[in-house]
Amino acid sequence: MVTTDEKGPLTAKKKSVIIRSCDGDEFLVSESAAVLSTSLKKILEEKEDRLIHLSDIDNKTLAMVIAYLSTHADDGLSDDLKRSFDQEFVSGKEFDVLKYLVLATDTLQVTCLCYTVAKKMADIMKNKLVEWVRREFDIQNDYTPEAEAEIRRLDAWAWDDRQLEDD
Amino acid sequence: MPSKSPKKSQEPIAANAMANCVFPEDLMLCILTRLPVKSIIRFKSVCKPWCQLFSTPEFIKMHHVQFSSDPKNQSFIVHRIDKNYSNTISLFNIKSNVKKQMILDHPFSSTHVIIDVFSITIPSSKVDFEAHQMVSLGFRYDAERADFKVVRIFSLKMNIIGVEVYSVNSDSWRTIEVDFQFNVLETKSVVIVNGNPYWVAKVDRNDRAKSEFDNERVESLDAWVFDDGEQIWRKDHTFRPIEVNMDRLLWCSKKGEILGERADGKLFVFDPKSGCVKFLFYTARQPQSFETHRYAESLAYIKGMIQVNARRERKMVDDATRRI
Repeated sequence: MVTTDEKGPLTAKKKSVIIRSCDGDEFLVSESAAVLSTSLKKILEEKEDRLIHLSDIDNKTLAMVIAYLSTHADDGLSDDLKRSFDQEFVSGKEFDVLKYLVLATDTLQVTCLCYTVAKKMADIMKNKLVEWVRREFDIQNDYTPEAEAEIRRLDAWAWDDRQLEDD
Repeated sequence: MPSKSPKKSQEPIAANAMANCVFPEDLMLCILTRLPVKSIIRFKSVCKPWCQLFSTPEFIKMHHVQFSSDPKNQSFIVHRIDKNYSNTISLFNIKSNVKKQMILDHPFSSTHVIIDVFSITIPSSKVDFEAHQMVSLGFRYDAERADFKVVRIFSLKMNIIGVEVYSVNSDSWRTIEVDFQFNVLETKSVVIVNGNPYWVAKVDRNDRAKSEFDNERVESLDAWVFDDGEQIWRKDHTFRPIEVNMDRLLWCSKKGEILGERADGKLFVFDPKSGCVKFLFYTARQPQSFETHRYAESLAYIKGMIQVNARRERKMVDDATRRI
């Protein structure tokens, strides 16, 4: 299945698959990149289908995941370069974009990207207000105002005068 | 389409922990375990299920493993004793080279164990403290029983060595039998690895090999690593001698970086792999006037632990009551 011609450049000679996003865009991906996703690998092993339709990943998110997979499938890049690509990859991205991205890594089972995105999301979240977190994750506040005040009082040390962000 | 998680856990950590969140549970855990302790404590007030989740042993363990595996979190506490015997505690991150002053004033008294900004009081042991010639302490975390322990090695007159262990769970001291003679030189364990304290000990044996080496001729040094699972020593790598005149070795990071003190009291970090030396802030007023401790964040809560600030406040209240 995987081509043994390691020295050759990434060309059309290598086997490739077409992946279609939920909004109909199609992406040509080398098989060596596609199999880095455990889900895609399973699909390719089960049937010789060269067209995979993903019903819950939009084109923008899919384009990002594919860019990540192609970089990581490139044997010519050192691990250090791949690591700095990962950092560059998540930097400056909006929290909403990261949410779709992390959901896509979950569907496609790309563990290392999932961890990188989760870390970035945690870095954005860490100085945010509780209200911001509830909004972003659509969580209902099930505390009474008294109970919430009490729980904050018990851990007063975590609520120091540092600037917490709401956007 | 049902979401599949990259790392499926055998059973959900807290069945209802994510009940009121639309995000898949495994993904949410993946994100939450990457937050600093302080943020997690604040996010207890997001909703009740989160609050419950953050105190489960499984979450605490996952968070700790996550935190300590990130090389960016390699920090240490520098405890400096000044000329007038006042204490300064700073938290120092090896990656960012940022120093943060901590809010502790006199934390290191003999009966208190400091864990971040918390302290606990433990009962004294059966052995008469006055009779001790030397005491050396070590802290141990027993992950299986989720128990914190204090290990105490002491020597009495007539070269009698004793080892005692205090367990927070049982709130008592236990004596450990040791069937060989040894001497420890430091007042605390040299290093804690995977929750176990280690000491450098001088073992009295007649067949002890004599070692001599000439300082002038050292061209390379071999670093050996002890694997305590297989109980063998392995050569890790060889490095050239440090160009800085190291007076004291203070700390070693998981990646092998060495924190040392120069003869004039200046602290530096040496990376044996690249040969790089990075000087840190100038700490010591006089050489050997500070101690360093590894710093790690954890959500683990020890029974009986109180916040240092709360203790200070309580003491002030007690003092005020006494005056009345």
